[in-house]
Amino acid sequence: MAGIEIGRYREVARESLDNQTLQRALSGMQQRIGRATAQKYKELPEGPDLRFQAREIRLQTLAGLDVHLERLAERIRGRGGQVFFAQTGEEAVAYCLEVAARHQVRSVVKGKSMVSEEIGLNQALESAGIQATETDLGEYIVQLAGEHPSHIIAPAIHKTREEVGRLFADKLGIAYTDDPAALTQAAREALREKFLTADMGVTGCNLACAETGHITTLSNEGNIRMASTLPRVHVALMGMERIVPNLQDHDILFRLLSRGAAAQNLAGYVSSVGGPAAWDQVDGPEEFHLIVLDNGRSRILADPEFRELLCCIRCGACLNVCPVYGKIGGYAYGHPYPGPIGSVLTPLLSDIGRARDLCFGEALCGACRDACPVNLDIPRMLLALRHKCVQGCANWGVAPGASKQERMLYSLWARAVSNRSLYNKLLKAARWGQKLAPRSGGWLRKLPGPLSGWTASRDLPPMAECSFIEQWKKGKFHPEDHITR
Amino acid sequence: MPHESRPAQIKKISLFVQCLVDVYEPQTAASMVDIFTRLGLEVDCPTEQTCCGQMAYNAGHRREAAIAARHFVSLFEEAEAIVCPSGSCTAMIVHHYPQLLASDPKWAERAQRVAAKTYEFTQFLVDILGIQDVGAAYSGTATYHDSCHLARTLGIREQPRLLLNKVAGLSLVEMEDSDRCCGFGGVFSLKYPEISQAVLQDKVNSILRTGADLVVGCDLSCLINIQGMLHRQGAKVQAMHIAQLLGHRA
Amino acid sequence: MSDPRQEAFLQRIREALGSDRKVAQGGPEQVHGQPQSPEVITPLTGRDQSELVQRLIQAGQALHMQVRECADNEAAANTLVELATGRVQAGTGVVAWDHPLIRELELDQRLDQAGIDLAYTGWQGSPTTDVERRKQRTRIRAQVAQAFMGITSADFCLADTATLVMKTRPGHARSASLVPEIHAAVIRREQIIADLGQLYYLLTHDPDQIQEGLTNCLSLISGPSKTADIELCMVYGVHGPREVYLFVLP
Repeated sequence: MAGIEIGRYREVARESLDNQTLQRALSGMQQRIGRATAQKYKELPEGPDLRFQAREIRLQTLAGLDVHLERLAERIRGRGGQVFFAQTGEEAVAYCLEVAARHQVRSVVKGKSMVSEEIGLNQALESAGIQATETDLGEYIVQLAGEHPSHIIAPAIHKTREEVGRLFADKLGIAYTDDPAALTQAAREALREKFLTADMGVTGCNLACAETGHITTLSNEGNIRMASTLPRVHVALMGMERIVPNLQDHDILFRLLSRGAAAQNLAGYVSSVGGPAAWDQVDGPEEFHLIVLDNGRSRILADPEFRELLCCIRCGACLNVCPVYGKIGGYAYGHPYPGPIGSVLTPLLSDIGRARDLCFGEALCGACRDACPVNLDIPRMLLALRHKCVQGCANWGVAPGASKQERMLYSLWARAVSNRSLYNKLLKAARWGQKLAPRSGGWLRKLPGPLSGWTASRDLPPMAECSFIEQWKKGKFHPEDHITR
Repeated sequence: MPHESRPAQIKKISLFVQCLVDVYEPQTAASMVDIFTRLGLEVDCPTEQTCCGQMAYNAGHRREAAIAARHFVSLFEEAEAIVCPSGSCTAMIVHHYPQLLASDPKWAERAQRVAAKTYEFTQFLVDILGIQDVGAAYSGTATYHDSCHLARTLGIREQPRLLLNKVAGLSLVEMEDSDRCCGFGGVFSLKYPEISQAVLQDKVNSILRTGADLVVGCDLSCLINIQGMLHRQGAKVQAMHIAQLLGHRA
Repeated sequence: MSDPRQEAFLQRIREALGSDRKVAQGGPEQVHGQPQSPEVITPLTGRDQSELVQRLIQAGQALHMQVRECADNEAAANTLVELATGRVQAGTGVVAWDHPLIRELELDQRLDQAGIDLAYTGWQGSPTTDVERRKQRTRIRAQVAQAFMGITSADFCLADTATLVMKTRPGHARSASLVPEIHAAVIRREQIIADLGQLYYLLTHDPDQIQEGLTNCLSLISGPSKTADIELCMVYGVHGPREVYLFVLP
């Protein structure tokens, strides 16, 4: 799958943990936005339970997805727009290149589109000799730096102002400054030029509306409006699941999306496009193309265990509360989907077996689910993925993955767990074994082999001389006795 | 949650002490027995009990976890009420057992019935017995850690605080992000130790910033995790299970 | 319309859903949002409207949008000219929607007196061919690109979120509210409604709105362009306008 990369989780996590700048940036972002989002949900007129309603809307939409997509396509075509259904990323890319060739496109301006990153569109455009410029400030920064975004909403969160200053001085030829306002102004000027001269604008789609036949994009910068208004051709990429049946559903979901993404009541720009500019309008693109992408989504749709994943509206709220993401940052997850949503989506869109670390490298704390505008049960899906990794799954092409030692260990554990007397024998052995571990003040300081991860940063208390059950059996807690301490 | 609202007068509770309490801190379970006995309840403790199986379940080993589940269900299905000093175990039993055993309709039904009468310790005291003051006394300041499964899966946040507020001589100070994960995550702490450690350090820092003598929680897994780092770093703060704390008397 | 590629795509979805596929039977789609009462279609007047204006002013403040109530056309025009003369840069001008509300303000004469160019973003004459229209679009585009201020009206203004709602019609350039550094909008009081919910209700229940539809581009604008992509520091005027003003006529 061009575009989707499974990261080197452990390695990159380790690097991220040592990167103090990144740690500060992640911590600052989570403290500000993570907390603010929770507060914003509480302040909703309908209260935080609106999330459950939103979830229902999305699930019901999925249940009739083909009808909604059909309706959307019909209406857009009715306004002179074109709709292309792409089964794979390759088909979507090929279509884009075809449109570009037809119009002799030399430069493209891009509004933020995760789908475009998923299918590797930028690389394909560059290979075809077409310059593709990201216009979201954060995306522009990472593009200039030759890096990937590290967060869905704040792509350059990992960069300091000094780093951006040096980058702009180098790539834009401006005098060095680390003032965000001055740097933003420099980007505005550089990108203004691109917007006015680009032949084609490529954007994503936050949520389409079947009833009216529009695709809607949200931003605060205005870059998506620019990319969808100024160039002659507008191509919008849309994951096939990003649709709701009617406008009232739009209302609910946008209010939640704005809160989940940036703790806002409503994003600064909400733009609904239903086709090219009409013949009597004075500006706007002459051609509008909507590319609806499957790229593995129908496979997720077909599996009731994972279907709810398609309710995701890519707001990034889960990233803003996840304690793991808050430490390891976006790059550890690969590309383009970081954070809790990425830990489930990437394995399912690419290869579960190769993405083991994404499935197991989470604490399952559930903060993501609570922060999600549609209450996605990410922990449940991670558990399902873990099961597939261990057991294997023909449907998803996963071979059984637990090591021989692990199988033996859990086999033994299963026997002990249903046989208290065997269990007690193992406890006795463990009690004896722990005496070999180096101690301090009674606490264990170092454990061997697979357990050593614990004692790298923690001590472990000694086991009690006699377990509670063993004491109970000896009659220590006979009801007539008084407990003394 | 599949609990019935206020079941008829419960006279006897069956303890599921949790493997960690059983093995590391039996005094926590002893304290529970003490508290319930003083409240006039009969306490039973099936001695064949071992482990709820969440570790195997979280590691993807559902076959083995199901073995633990069936063992638990057969052991406890005659109980009036099952009380457990662990949010994560209670969540496992209440939320996951019915699904885990769903493939066999007989077991699914039995699991459902057991789940409906399984309670976490503070939940049982406050919601079922209607008790907030167990007559405990402890001089000092405490901060409270909301364990993930307890707070999010079971929705139990108020009950422990209500109980702590009634402990004579105890002042409660809230830490920042009290419900942020402590980084344990079961096998996660062993398989991804550096990440686990980093998350734990944040929790420890939050605790230290409160200046409290004690960090109290309802899950021994979290507490052992937290105390492990506090001890290693030479901090004086003690981690204590709420059942133990509530067993202290003037 | 038979599109084999589309059919295959949709068929794949149907197969994926299998027996879980559920489609609403005929008629309008089920409405999930809160039902609104029909009263919202009639414009709110008097005290209710005053309250909305206050809400709008407050919401606008939080979003760095300045809302000014103007006693009459004269007052609005004077303020706009003042704003323009204070901000004009050499070689730049003003663009404005060819809209009755704006035409009434007679800005071209007033700005001309101040030495500032005003260009309406409307068709000159009645171009009948594509070539002519393309030429004019090029002209309009060039004018918008060198403008420091764009003056538009709007269809509605949502008080709760200080949102300007703009459909797209002939003579009303989309880029006028987007490209210049300053965006000034002129509306009437009665166009102010409460919130997004009301807007969507109007769009789907008011006969005039239903007939016109959303048009091919509906823009909701809440304040100036902004970003916090560099170290979470808020900066205004990234790509869109840096300043947004709303003038409310009685």
